[in-house]
Amino acid sequence: MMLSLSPVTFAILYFYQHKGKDTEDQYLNLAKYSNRLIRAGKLDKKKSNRHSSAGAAGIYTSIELQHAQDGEEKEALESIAKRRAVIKDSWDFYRMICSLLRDKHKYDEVFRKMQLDPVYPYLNSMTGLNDPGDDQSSPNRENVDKAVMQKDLPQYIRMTKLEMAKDLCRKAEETMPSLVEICKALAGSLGIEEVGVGPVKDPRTAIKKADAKYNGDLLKCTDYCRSLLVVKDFPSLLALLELARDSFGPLIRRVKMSSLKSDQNPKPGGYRDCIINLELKDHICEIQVHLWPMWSVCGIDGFRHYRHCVEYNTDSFPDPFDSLDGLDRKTRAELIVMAEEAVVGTPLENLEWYHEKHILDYFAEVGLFLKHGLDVWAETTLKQLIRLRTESPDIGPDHHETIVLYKYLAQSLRKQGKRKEAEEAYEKVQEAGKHLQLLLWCNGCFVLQWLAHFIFYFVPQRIAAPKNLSKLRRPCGII
Amino acid sequence: MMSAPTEALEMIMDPNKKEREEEEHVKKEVRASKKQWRKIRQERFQFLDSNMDTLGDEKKDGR
Repeated sequence: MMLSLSPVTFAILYFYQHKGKDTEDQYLNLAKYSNRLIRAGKLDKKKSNRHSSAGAAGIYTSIELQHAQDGEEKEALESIAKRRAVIKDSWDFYRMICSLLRDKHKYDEVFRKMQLDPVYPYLNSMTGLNDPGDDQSSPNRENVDKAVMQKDLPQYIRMTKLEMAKDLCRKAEETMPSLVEICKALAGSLGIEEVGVGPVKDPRTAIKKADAKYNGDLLKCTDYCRSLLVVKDFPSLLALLELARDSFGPLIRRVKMSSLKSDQNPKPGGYRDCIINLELKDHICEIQVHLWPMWSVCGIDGFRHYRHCVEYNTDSFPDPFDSLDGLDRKTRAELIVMAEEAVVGTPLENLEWYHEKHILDYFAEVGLFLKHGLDVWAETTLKQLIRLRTESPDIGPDHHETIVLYKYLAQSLRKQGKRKEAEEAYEKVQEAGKHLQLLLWCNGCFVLQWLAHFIFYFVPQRIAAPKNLSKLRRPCGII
Repeated sequence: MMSAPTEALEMIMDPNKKEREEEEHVKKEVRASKKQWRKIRQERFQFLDSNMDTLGDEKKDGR
């Protein structure tokens, strides 16, 4: 374990030896840590050699000492391995936070563009059916007083929670064929992009969900039997709603489209969709209607993104690098080593715009550099990332992701005293803000909420560290 | 913020003017958008009308 760490560490130390004492000091903790590991290994070897070369009388002692030293060495290696595992978990976790926030901003960007659709003001003026909107006071923003529920049967009084969940799942199984038929009909008429059905919710998952969202009330779970439809755009959604109303209107119990409204919050993690609940065979089913531009950001993994965003409360802070606040220098240095290991296979200069995984690795590493005061490294990486994002046909120079990179670049340049270059980078950020305002003015869109977020997040003078960082929950034992 | 004395007078005479104007603007925008939707509906989703006709026929037939 120690050997696998040292080449990278040595490379970094070598770099620092050639960059002068000041920079070397910056890296003090990592150097100390790595040297201690290496020295410990060498000393153990020397000691064991000395003992083994002793005379016959010393053999017994030597063996005894050897055992003791083997034990110590083993223990030391074990503790190194444990520490390394913790650092690896921390790196993976931090990288995930970066990816969650990246995707959240992608959703925001997509929704901003979607609002430019000429039919959006009409859709935005519509009210759903039995849709209470989002509830900020509730942890998962789902209203606990849900208007649409499963039928409460007399036998449920005598049943345990698990038995009740199993019964509801059984009913869902029975209802599934009818829901499939309805989805097939809708998809056939509208030429829907993607259709998916089921599987029926697992009873234990249902109990977990009911506990988390509805104070344990299983009857409030309305997605035991569920399906998904992906429509092309807002006009297709309007057509689907009309078709649903005309074809099976009396069966519709709820149309939840509040997350698609400009004055309402998205779901945790930035996602927005429309949910239709139907009553089929005395059982409430769910049809999730997704919009292709939103859906295409994460695809089927969108649910995992949502779940993680809820779990780690990522909506409480806009900057992924804030999740590094409170880490000591040593841990940050160890994380940099881990980051270097992650990117070692793809050097920065070999990176292409489509190497999304490695771009994320390098982006996460930039956060560590910035927090660790390694601004030269941050600058080098950021310049390359900006070039890649600019080259990307899906992103380009004016995309919010590129602008965010400019913001960090300006930070790193300013810290190095490169004022002129920093100003130039800030100008890019401010230009993007002005451009957005102009766009909104011209289109008369209702995206003020997004604009407010944009100003908070992108314009450097107004950036402040979020006060509720403690809401970021980290898995036990990590960092 | 008021920029002219006439605006102050207007504020006293009609305090909800701005809100009303904003509401009217939104309504106008929604109307224009609905018109757009009708146009798109006609172009892309004409089958919705035939679906309505079929449903109407079904109701007439008592199905």
